[in-house]
Amino acid sequence: MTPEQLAASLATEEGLTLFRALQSAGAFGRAEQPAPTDGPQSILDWEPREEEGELVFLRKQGLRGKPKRLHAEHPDTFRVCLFGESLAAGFPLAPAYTPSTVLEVLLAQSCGSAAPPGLRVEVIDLALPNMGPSEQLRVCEAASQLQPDLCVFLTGNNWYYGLSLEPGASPEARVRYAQRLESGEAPALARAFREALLARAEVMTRSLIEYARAGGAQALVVIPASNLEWERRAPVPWLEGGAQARWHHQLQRAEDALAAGDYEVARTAAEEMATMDTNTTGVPERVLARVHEGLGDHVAAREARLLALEPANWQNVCWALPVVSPSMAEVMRSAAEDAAAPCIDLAEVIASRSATGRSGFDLFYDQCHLNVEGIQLAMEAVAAKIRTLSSGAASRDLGGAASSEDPPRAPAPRPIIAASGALQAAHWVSRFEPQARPDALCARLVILLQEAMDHSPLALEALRGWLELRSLDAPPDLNAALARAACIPGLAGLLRDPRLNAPLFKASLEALEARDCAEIEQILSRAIGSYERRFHEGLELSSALFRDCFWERTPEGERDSDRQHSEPIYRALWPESRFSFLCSGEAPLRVRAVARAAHTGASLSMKVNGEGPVLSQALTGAWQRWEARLEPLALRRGLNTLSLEWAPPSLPGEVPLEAARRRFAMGAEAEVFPTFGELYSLRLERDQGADRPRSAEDAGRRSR
Amino acid sequence: MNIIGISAFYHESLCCLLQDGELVAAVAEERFTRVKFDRRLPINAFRYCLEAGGDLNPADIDCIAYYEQPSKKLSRQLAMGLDASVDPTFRWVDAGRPEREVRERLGYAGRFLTFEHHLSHAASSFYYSGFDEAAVLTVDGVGEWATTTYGRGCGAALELLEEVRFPNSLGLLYSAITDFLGFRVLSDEYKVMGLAPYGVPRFKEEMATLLRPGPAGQFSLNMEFFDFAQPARMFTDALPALLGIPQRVPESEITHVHKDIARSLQVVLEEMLLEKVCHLHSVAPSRNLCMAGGVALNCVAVRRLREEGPFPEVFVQPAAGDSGAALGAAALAHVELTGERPSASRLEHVYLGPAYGSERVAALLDAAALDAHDHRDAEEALLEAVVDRLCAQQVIGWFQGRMEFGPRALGARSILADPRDPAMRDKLNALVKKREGFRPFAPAILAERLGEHMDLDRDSPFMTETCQVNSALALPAITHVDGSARVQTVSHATNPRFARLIERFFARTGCPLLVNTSFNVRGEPIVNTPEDAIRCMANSELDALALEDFLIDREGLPAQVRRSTRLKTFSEQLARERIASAEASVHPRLSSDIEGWRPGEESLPSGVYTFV
Ligand SMILES: [Fe+2]
Repeated sequence: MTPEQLAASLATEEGLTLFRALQSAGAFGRAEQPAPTDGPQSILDWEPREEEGELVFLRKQGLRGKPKRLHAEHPDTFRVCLFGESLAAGFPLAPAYTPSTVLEVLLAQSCGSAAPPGLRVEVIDLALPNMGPSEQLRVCEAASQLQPDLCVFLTGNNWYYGLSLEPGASPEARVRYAQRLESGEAPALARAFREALLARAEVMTRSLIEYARAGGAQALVVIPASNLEWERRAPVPWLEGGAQARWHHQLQRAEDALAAGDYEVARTAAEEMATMDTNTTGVPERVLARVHEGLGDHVAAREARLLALEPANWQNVCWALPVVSPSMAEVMRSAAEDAAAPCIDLAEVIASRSATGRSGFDLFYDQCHLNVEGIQLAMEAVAAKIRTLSSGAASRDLGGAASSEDPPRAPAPRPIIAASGALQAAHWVSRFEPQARPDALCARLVILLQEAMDHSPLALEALRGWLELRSLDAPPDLNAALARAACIPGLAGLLRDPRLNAPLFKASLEALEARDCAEIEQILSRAIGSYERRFHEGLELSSALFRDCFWERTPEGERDSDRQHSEPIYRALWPESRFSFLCSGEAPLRVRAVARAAHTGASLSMKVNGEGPVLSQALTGAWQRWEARLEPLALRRGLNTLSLEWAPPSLPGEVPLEAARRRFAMGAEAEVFPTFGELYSLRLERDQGADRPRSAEDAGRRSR
Repeated sequence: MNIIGISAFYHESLCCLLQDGELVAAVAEERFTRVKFDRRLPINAFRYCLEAGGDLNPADIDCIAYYEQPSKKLSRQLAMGLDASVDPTFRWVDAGRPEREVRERLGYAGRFLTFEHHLSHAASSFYYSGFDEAAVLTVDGVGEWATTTYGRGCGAALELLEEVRFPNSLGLLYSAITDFLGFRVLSDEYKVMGLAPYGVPRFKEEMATLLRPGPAGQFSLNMEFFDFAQPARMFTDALPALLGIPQRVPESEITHVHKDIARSLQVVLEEMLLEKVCHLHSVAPSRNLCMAGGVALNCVAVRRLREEGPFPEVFVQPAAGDSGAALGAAALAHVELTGERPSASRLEHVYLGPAYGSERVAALLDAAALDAHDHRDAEEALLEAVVDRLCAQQVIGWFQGRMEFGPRALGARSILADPRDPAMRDKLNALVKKREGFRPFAPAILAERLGEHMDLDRDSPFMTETCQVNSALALPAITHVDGSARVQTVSHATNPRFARLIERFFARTGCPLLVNTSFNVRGEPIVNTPEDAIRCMANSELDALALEDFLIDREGLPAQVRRSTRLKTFSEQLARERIASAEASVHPRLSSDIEGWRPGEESLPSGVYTFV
């Protein structure tokens, strides 16, 4: 076969599918694993160095805190290494306040009564945000060079890496998606991911314990807990027989019923959804939990919320949620037990505190990251457990429990660090998570912002500065208000985000108004002015700057940290798309949409601030222009929201899923979630009355 | 009729719009994403082109023309082998990707045409040359199979008469030696050209071993010395053995041997091109020659063809490299759809990118608390103030009107300085551009004063020509070691404000030239927006910035802006690299169940690898 013939056949679906099947079977070889290197290796950012015949590790400046040095040998020190992801690294309080620093203080307090005199305790922080499982294993292997006495594994949240439906997955991974789709519809895909995750949890737990022991250390497994009050809007995949449309209908019914306090209707609706999506979204489970809570049954509510965590990280269309699901926790627990390794389940520690078993925003910043109280509670439990461990060598025993009247208490962070944690959490939470209930989110944000201002008066400055940075006139890094907003440590990166961030904007105004903050009116006027100026040339509302939900279908953008290349066509994953903007509310505006349907029978209806519709149209598969005038009466001074409502697609899911399977089998990108409608453009302009024609030169002077 | 031309997925991607045969917009994606040589689908550039075309949407586009034929290219890639160690994902095997991405990510449902790579190159020159008929020569690394083609254009017709096929390639030869000399392939070839005049051609014999002439338009590479399928390097161990030195370590000292090799390569390239251009003349006799392809960016070689070759008139496309081939594809689509030639007149300027009006700039300066001189409705004062600063040996950022496309800054996004200052070259290199010192800068000269200072008798609006400097003035900053300069002629017709500026400078100093270099720092694409310009100023030692009607002195830049725009901190960079590489290599314990998450294509090694 000539290359030309081969290329011609590879250019067909059959040819490429066959090629990918062969590739997946390893017919063309595989990438070689890098050969293990001899001699001392770096451990995360600790670099090995030989100094006077002794092995020393130096931490490069920059990654976390100040440079430090560690001697491999540590005769008078009980050395604990703490491993994990962002949770263990203390995000967002790091580097000032982390589980490691807290644990070290706690252990130092308790080390006393029966411990050998002169024995010091140190906790080495080997946790890093965004660490995946492979890297974690490598770090754990390399850490044996530090000869730890104890390895604490506070990890598991990120173990799903590589096991979720990644939009940017490799062709080989997609071939496997195709194989799974062959054995059933989208729920089968979800189940297969979950099974792989459980198998991985077993391997990970076992391996970490083995590596710790191979290095002569004891292993302590700490299973992360989750914030059960976390609400998220997860999309439902294509379902058999077009059930996805009924699913959305029931969700709307349930939400309306919950709002009206009609729990029975909400329960029926949620149960119907649950039979359709078979625990692939977590949405019906959370609706049920709210029903139970409304009826006062907190035990049942907790059960439902735990169940909602199971599908949290198989789908990565928006954002796979880093959590440890209950079934994963179970696997970790039994793997630790099989290896006779001590284990703490933080979910149990938390649940045992109260009758309702509350595990919510009292202890978490977001879905998995512990706040100050959470870290204190967790590390107190870890320290108590460590004191019960015996190394078998009396010279290295920490010496039993401290006296029960005076248990060691975890230290508190400096107020400004606590304020920073709350502010960062508010930014983080409002930016990244598709929200099920924007009102609930806003209330949550207000609490976080008030908490920050209670801790430090600088938080008010930071907030005021952030509002100033919402101006369209200059991007945050050039805006003169940046210095003012960055008065609290840890905010610098978050402040550079130019997005309007409507939930945080609303919450900030509310929180500042409650404090009688002066200048708010002035700041608001300036921000509004910048929008009003842009209306002359037109403001592209579909751009990521103005979306309410930032994680909507941006496959490439997901890995594009600057998000400069992440604005393809806007594709609605939900029945409703929300875009926010500021305006004076004094002059009429014109909105011009270029939209199309992704399926037959689609329609679009547009509302302003929940009122309307100002526009209602049936859509076709071709791009069409629609225009609507927004009267001053419908607009408000300040924040406004334009919402587009799309009819749910009723196409039987088998059809698009089969198309997706064939695409995956070719190693190509495909979608298992319905698209409700597509926008090429949503432009907001000053209403000029009659349409004036545009010249090319005129357009050339504008830019997005 | 709206036709979009796209080049992507190999070199920096570009999108252009041909409206009823007129080129109305052209811009590279890198300018928006700020990723140099960004080769991803030009999403931002596409949206810009549609906007510049008058509020278009994808349904208004009659055709999208793609600059090469993916399945034909695939056959060549397959012939090079299937090597998992180069790229275990084999993403490149998917020849349907360009069309799929265009349709799905750009939301385009209409006609999609692909044209052969070298035909696109040829069209990108001929159809924009203004010649009724011409011979056409395209020379590059490699397209699908062709590496050099000989063709003929007449009216709307364009045909390729002969081609040289991979692996025999002048572009790959040049890139391989670029690689050997420790520079970056696909981006630093021009540095080798700049290095050449410092050396003597004492490696000509060795070069003759590498490149052998053939009959008619043919030539061949001695493949004992080259390996184009490996990610690490483009040559075999035989090459260092032949040349008697090891590969130069990047960033290490450049010695005489390196300069001599560069010179020898350049001379051999020029001689081969001369021979082949004579062959072209014999099969396609004409007064006119059109050139495109990466090798046509070698303006030193082009000058020799012009001076010693058989064609009195030579036109080189300003974006002769692969990105500019998008213009050719669009023109070919126009011919196919209408049967007519897109435009009979010559491409006069390349100011086809976004512009940002003074009102927007004013709001930006205000929000940034930047201290600026406001010269709205007072151009005279602006120009005088800029000339004051140039005369005080200051380095000026010059940001005016629509951005130029192509590799050169031509007075819309430029850095300007006084060419008479002997210290200027070093100052610019060290403080502003942060680049190697051996290359001179290019001059922008008033078209009407050209003959008084340069040995050149025709306009060179795109900086595609080099010539001898014969000025009575001493112009050390722009004169190369061999007495040559790469000139841009500036005319009142195409860039009036820039022309008036140089006129003022001339009136004040008697010198109608300015140093003109691209407005960026090393490793960064040319600035696009006013924000980019301010960030670039904050990150370099630019003394002043003429931003539309405003003039900002360095002192006017608040310290806070300098701080906050500083390039990514060490820890940010580290975090970024980590994310890219985090799970790239799967731990053996997980290999049985890994689903194959791998970093996106963007984080794969670029450069040599992309020849696969
Ligand atoms: Fe090319």
